[in-house]
This record gives sequence, structure tokens and C-alpha cells, in this order.
Amino acid sequence: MIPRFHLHPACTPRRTLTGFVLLWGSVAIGSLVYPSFAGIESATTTVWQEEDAGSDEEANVEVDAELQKKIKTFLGHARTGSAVIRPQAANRLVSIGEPAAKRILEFANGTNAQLVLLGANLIEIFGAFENSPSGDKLRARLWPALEDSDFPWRPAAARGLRLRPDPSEKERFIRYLDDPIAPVRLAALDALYTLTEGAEGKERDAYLKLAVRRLSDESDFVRREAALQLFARGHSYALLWLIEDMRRADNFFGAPTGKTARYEAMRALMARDVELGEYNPELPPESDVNRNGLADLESRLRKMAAQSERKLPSSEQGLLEAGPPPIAQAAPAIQNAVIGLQLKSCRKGDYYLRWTEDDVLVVGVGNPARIQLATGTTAALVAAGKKAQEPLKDQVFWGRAGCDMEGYYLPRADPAISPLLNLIIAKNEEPVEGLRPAALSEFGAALAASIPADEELDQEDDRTRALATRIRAAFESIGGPTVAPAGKAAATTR
Amino acid sequence: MPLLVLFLLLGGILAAPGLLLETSSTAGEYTLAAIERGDAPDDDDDAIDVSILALKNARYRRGRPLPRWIRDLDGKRVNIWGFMAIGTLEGLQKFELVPESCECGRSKVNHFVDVTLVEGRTKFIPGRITLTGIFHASEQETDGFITSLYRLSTPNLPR
Repeated sequence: MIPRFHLHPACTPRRTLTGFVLLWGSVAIGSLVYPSFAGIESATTTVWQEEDAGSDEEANVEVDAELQKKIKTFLGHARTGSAVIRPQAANRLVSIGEPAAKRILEFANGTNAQLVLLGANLIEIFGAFENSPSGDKLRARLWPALEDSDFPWRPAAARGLRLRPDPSEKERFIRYLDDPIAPVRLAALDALYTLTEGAEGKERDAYLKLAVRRLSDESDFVRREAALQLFARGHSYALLWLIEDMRRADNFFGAPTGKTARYEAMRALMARDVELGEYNPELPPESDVNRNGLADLESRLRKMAAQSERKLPSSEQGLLEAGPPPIAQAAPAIQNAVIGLQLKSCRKGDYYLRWTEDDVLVVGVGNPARIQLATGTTAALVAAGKKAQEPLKDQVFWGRAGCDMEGYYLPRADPAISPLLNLIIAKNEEPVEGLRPAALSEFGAALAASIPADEELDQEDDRTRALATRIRAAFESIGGPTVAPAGKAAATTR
Repeated sequence: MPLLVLFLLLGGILAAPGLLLETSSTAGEYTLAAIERGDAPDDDDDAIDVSILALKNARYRRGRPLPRWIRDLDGKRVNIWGFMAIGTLEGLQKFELVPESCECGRSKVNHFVDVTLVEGRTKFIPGRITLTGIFHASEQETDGFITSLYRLSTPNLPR
């Protein structure tokens, strides 16, 4: 993560000057009175000794008991509290430091299966303890967790590791830039950014190559992070990737994926004091105000980038001038999708699939990949979907909230109620026997069977490479394998 | 005397960053200027359209005032779209409205609206819904943890 601190405009020159005078004045006085900060520490100790000469072992025991009680409470909240409380409780443990790390370590020495029980929020803070011997041991525990493809909290482990990356870990982080789970790739990219801070020559070139590759990542938030990192390294043309996100208007069955990207990109640019003119993320990108605003913004950014390019080494100039590749470009929204499948697997990653009326399989969001299917494929799936609804009656949800989800979008058997039916299966990281109803299992199998075989798909495109295999694996990791009934042909493939 | 100098020294060090970094009640509003270009709250009876994405992307720091445009919405009647958090149980009076269909176990305090059904009870509705009700924005705290930032009271779920 790139540090995003900057002086706020409310900081007038006068306030700024006052602040600096106070800060440096204090340091100067301090250095006169006390020759070193070690002196401050000893002076503080002296004060304590003068004012509290009566401190004794009993008081220490009491303080320790109080602290242990706090740690126990925070541990409980961080593990089993509500989703909003868990990260706050975990951060409290970090602020306690070594005593908390020591206590967590007692739970972290077992197998990965035991580690899972701590939950994602606690795993993530394993890398957050500074100047803590137990914290160092906790951090070391994150690598075996990340390397275990069955460990459900791999994104949390990766985020924990990226907080204080070690130069010796560089090659490992590079390997995780190709991980199937986008937040793991994002954390690896962040770690590499930190590790190459101030680097020049070959080391800088190697980082730039890796970051540029992530500008074509299938995940928009990985692309945005790569762009912001490259911008921070002097490549201002990288901001064109964010402008492109601000032009997005794509949706996934009512979920405004394009608008979400518009907000994210806009927020990132504002944090870097880029003037956005009249741009409004709530309005469609094709509205006059946004179309003109973005054209003006792009023109200003290109001018700024052309100037800043001159400061770059000649070998780097022109690297990003051509702008975003097709995968990162805004594209017209898909209008004729009739069936959708959203899989979110804590072990296998996220997938967004749509089948259109004219038999195109659409993979991903933003500017998705498109696969032409055999004529009649979608119609067969629609029929299978309508049939699957019969035994489900009015039930639309199975399971409980967690990191795994299957979302089905299909035309209702009775369109008089509403045209689209959305069915959801969800669970936490533990396997749940019989979670997916048989009818949906059959339908899921039909959806997976409609995906062309690996050899028919573009294996260079991360979105379509081994797609059917990966979809089946994701299904299996969430609601179990999707098995079509014996003797029954699955939906048509070409 | 050395003790006095020490306290002055510590006071100066503590105060300086506060002056250098944002401290005013308008902090964060500059960078959120574009978001604030939505419909301004007024005294009409019409509900104000509020984007859950704008709420999610508003700058929030614990203990600091929310941006003015959000504070101005407090107590107003609003329309707001979102998704019922997955796993919302049936028969309850409260649920979380979230900007993505699957927040999937993650929940930052500024990423959801805590909805109270004044008359009805929950029944999980997958897919996007729009609610109209009275909006409140402020930190709500339980046992030292912030449990909600945005709240909405609405009579019932949409049919």
C-alpha cells in the first residue's frame, strides 16, 4: 500500500510554519537539555522513580492481570465478534504489542488447520507487531499458511506479510503475483513496492516490469494499485488507467461494478490532489458533464505526464504512453445476459460469468472476455434453470454468511412475479455437507458443462485459461461438487 | 526545572503534528468535493437520493467529524439502494444494507447502513433493493468498539 499522507489544504502556511517551529524548537531545546533521546528516556524513568517510589511487585501483578484480561477479551472479539468489531479488536491487540503477540503465539504453533480457527482478522495482524520477538515468530508463521492452497485466509496471510516485507522474501512475493486470488496478488505487489523503494538500475527495472504486467491484471483493483505505484515511481501516464475506470458503466445483474470502480478511481485521484473538474461518479460517464470533464482531465494528465517523463531515465520514457490495454478499457455494458453465476471462494477466488441470449459466455466484469458458444446453449440453460426452480419453492438462500458464496441469476419460471430470480448459497470456511440443493447442483453442473474445453479457449488470457476446470474447483470448494444425474446429458457445448 | 523543560518538550512534540496535519472540523471535505455534488439536502418532504457508494467512499476517521454533507443528512428522509447483507436472518428488526451483494464476512464500519424496520421484520431478499426512511449518521459505540456509523429507520422492506 502506498502511503497516502499529505498536508491538508486547511494547513495554511502560517499553521505549517507554527507546527514546524514548535516541533523543531522542542527538539532543539530537548537536545540542549538532554544530549540524546536516550537521555529523555532516562529522565522519564527518573520522574517515575521520583513520583512513584512505592511501585512494587504487587502492583505489577495487578497490571499484568488487567492486561491479560484485556488481551483475552480482544482475542475473543477478534475471533468471534461481529464482522465490524473483529478488525477493531485485532488492531487493539496490535497496539498492546508484545504481551498480546505472545498470547496469540500460544494458539499459532499448531497446524494450518488449527490456525484457521483464529479467523482472518487475527491472521492478518500476525505481521503487524513491531519490535516484538513473539510478533516476529507470528509473522514467520504466515508463510506456511500462504503456501497452503487449502488455507482459507490466504489473502489475510498475504496482507500480514506485506506489512514488513524482508528483502530475502522478494522471490516469494514475485511468485504470488500470479496467484489465483486477487487480494493475494495485490498484497504481493504492495510488498514488492516497499522492497524496491529507492531502488535504481536493474532492481528498479525488474520491479517496473512486474508492476506493468499487473496493469493488465484481470482484477480492476490490482490494476489500479499497479497504476498508483507506477505513478508514485514517476510514471504519470499510469493515471490513464484510473481515468479509464472513471469511464466505466458496467453492471453485473444490478450490482454497479462500473460505478464502484468510478468511485474507487476518483477517490484515489483526489487523494493525490488531482483536480477532477466537474466529474460526478453518480452520473453516467456518457453524460455531458462527465464526458467533457474526463476529456479535459485526460488532456491535463497527458500534458503533465509528458513533462514528468523527461525526468525519467531514457530507457523508461514512453513505457505507458499508449495507455490502457483492452482489458483495462471501459466497454459497453452487457445488455442481453439472461443467466449469471457469481462464485466467491475463499480458496479458489472470484468468478463472474454471464450467458447471453445470443449464446455468448461473458467472463469477468469491466471489459470482459467473450466466448462464442454453440447455438442453443443459452436456451438449454434457461430451460434447465426454470426446471431447477420447481423443487426450490420460494427458498432463495441456503447456509450462512461467510467467505464462500454461489450466486445464481436466472429467469423466473413465473415472470409475473419479477423477471429475474437470484438464488444464493453461502457458508464460512468450513465444509458443509448437503448445503447446495440437488436441483441447483444439477443446474451448476449444466453451467460448468457449457464452458468450452481448455484447448478451445485462449490460454494466454488469465480469465479464460482452464476456465471450466477452475469453475468446477470453485463450485467444489463452496457447495461441493456439481454432479449431473447419471445418464443425463449436461447442457450443450459446441 | 529539568522536569518543566521535559514537559514543555513533550508538549511541543505532541502538538506539532496536530498543527501540521488536518485538524479542523472541515477536514476531508476538500478531497470529497466531487462526491458532495449530489443532491443537496433540503426541507422538502421529498426524500433525498443518497448513494451508498458515496457514503462508503466518504473519508472517515474514528473520532473525527464526518464530512459536512453527511452530517447535513442526519435526521433527513432519504432513498438509499443496496443489498441485504448475506446471511440476514428472518424475523429480525435489524439488518445491514451493503453496497456489494457479497461483503462475505468483511465489514468496515463505513461500508454499511444499519437498517431498523420500525413495523416489519426481516426476510432475506437477494438482489438490489431501495429503502426510504430517516437517516442518521454518527459513531455508535459499544464496549469501546464502533458498531455503526450510518443508520436508517424505515417502516418495512420493499415488496
